[in-house]
Amino acid sequence: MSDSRYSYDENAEAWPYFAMTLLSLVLVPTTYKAVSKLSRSSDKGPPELESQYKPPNYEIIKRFRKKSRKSSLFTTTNVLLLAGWIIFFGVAFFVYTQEAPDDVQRFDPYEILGVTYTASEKEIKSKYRKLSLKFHPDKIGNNLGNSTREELESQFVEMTKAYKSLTDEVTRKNYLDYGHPDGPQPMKHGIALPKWLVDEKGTPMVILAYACLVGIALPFVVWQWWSGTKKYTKNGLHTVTAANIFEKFAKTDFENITNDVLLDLLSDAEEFKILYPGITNEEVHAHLNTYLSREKEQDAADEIKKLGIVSRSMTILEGMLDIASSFKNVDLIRTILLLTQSFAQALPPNSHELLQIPFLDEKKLACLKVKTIKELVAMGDDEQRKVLGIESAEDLKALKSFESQIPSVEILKAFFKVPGESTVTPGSLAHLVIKFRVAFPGTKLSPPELKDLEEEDSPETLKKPLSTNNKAPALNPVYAPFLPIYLQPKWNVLLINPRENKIVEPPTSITHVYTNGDISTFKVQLSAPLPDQLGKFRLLIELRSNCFIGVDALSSVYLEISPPQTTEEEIDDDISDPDEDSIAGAMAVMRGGKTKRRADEDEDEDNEDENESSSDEEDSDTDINTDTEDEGDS
Amino acid sequence: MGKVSVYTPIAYIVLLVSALALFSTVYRRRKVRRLISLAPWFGSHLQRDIYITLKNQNDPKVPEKMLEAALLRRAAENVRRIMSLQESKPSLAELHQRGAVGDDVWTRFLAAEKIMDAEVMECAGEANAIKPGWAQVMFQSAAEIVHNDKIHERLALVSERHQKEKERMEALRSQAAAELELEK
Repeated sequence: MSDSRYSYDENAEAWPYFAMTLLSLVLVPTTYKAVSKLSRSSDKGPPELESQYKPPNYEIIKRFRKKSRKSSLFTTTNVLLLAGWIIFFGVAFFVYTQEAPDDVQRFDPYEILGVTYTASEKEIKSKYRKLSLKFHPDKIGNNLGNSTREELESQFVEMTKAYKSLTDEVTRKNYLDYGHPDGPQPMKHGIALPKWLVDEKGTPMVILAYACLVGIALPFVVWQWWSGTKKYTKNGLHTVTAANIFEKFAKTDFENITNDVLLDLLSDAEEFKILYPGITNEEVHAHLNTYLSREKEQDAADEIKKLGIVSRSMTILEGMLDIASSFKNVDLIRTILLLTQSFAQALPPNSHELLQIPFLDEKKLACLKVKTIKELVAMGDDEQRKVLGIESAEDLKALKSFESQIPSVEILKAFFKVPGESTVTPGSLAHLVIKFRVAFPGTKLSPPELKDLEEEDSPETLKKPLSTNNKAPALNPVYAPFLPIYLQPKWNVLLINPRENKIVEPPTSITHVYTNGDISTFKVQLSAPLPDQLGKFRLLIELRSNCFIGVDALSSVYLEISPPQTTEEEIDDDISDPDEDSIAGAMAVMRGGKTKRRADEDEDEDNEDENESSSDEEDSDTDINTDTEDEGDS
Repeated sequence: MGKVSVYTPIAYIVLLVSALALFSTVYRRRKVRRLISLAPWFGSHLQRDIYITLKNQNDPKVPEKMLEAALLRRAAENVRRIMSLQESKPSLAELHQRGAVGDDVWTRFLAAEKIMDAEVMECAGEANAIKPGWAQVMFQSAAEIVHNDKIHERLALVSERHQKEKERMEALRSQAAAELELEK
């Protein structure tokens, strides 16, 4: 065995490297995260629009925005990061200024003899002979100084060693096994810890630090993290707020949940009490009312408070929507979505869509002939100027810039599709395809081409039908003049079963849209397989914007469940195979359904009845198909 | 190596065990305190309180019929509460699973369910004490009472809404008339 020995890092050769590695292991990912977060928040906002229309309290809003941006820069994480980097560079500087220690020369016989690694034994021998002629102590003349003589002698010893290690059996083996012709050398293991840390004196300190780390710091961090995750829900709602919202929804009839109830719930949110300690519900409610009526607070500090409350409200409303969606009630969801729109535009709930337009108030609205934004925009500049009482060219520019970001959305076609099938078959997993078009004032719209409205299967969509949802470019943030935060515009998609007044799927949101007049596609995956029952059902689709009033699109969509297309349709009619009873019955139902064109509710109920009767009777009677058909016709 | 005293491991173990014991007691005490501090899902049960008061009243003794009526009212309230629990359970379960609501609500909700179970059992016991076998019938009647109440509520709402709509339409009409006047 080799004689090995551990030594600590007395000259601080290795531990700085070790410390740097550890530091960079933590610092680099954290910095990456922080930077990406910062860059995401900084490019949020359309400054070119901001300079156009300025609400009366613009200066304060601007101050608020600046403040919130600053506060996102100087977080504890960022300060700690900075400190970490300073330490890192300190250590790096220390390493740089340290002198590199003299490395022990590695023994390499090839290099000493000056032969290539592929040299044969013969070559080595001849080379050694040549060298020994030159360097042998006997051959060297006395004309050289003493010091060089010794050096040369040691060089010659090395050469002999090298020659032996390449030719002699034993030395060669030693060289290959231990890296040295004399056999195993004493090995030195360095531990990258500074010596003072392992000294007798340092021991209690190390133990103390270890105890602090494991006994106090680690449990504290874990506990903080755990209680932090328990304090806020996944939507960023405080759990108390979420609980209050849920309790209210669970205990109140949905009809009785009005905007006032929602505003009360919002004012009760725990977030505001944390943000502004000591604030009461009434105060928050008053602030919200002031905001929604586009008024200013008397006090500048109150105004800032109001803006803080409002910017937080948007998140809470989003969480509210999420909780409401679990109840599936359409009215409730719709109320929340419309309230979100009014919050974005700072208008009382259920306001007229034209009131969003700057320079337009209730008084002017009463005298206005047009009743929608589209009509107003279509009026042309001069006419608008006259109606809205705009005098300066600057105001007109502001008006135009505001109008230019109001989209209009139009559902061109909506249908259900099963990947890889031409029809929607019973029991299959279908998705809803919505073909729609978003236009801004001034976009030229041509009639849609029929082929754009179809949805062809491609290998990719067969595997992941929803992969096309984010194909279009993402929408730019919207400038809502009164809202202190920039809004990422989106449309919430509701798929509604009008008979039960319930949503079929939880709301999903459209964020990627073509704005140049091209047709965009959005798909909603149905989570449950379709019913086995054949028939045609009417469902409703609603696309509800989160930032503008009156730019929603509604449409109905038919879910037509038909049997899979096979060539055996005729055989089914004739052969009364007991195994196919159910299919035969279902076929009869389908025919019955096709012959009638009545209201959907009746149709579906009739279908159910027929289905039952036919399958009951078919066990005994094979002619039942024609019977049910007759019934359907009558 | 220096000599290690026999007391070192003993001290270590004592320290470790006492720390763990301390943690566990503090944790458990806090948990209990937190559970106590949680508000009950439903408010006070008025019908149950009335029934218990009537039952314990001895001077003068409450007539049997009155006691039965009170118990029926209590059962009706229980049915109402159970229905409300059943309606919101799937939503809450979904939200809780998704992490959209905290654990507190879930705990409170489960506690409410357990309390309601116990309450129903107690109610049934009382009913059977009055008249053996009545519990079954009583809960059926209670369910009918709840339905009836709901229908009555809706009916009351209709007249209220009627009044409101009437006022709104009146206002609209007068406004329209005024506008017409102006245009003339």
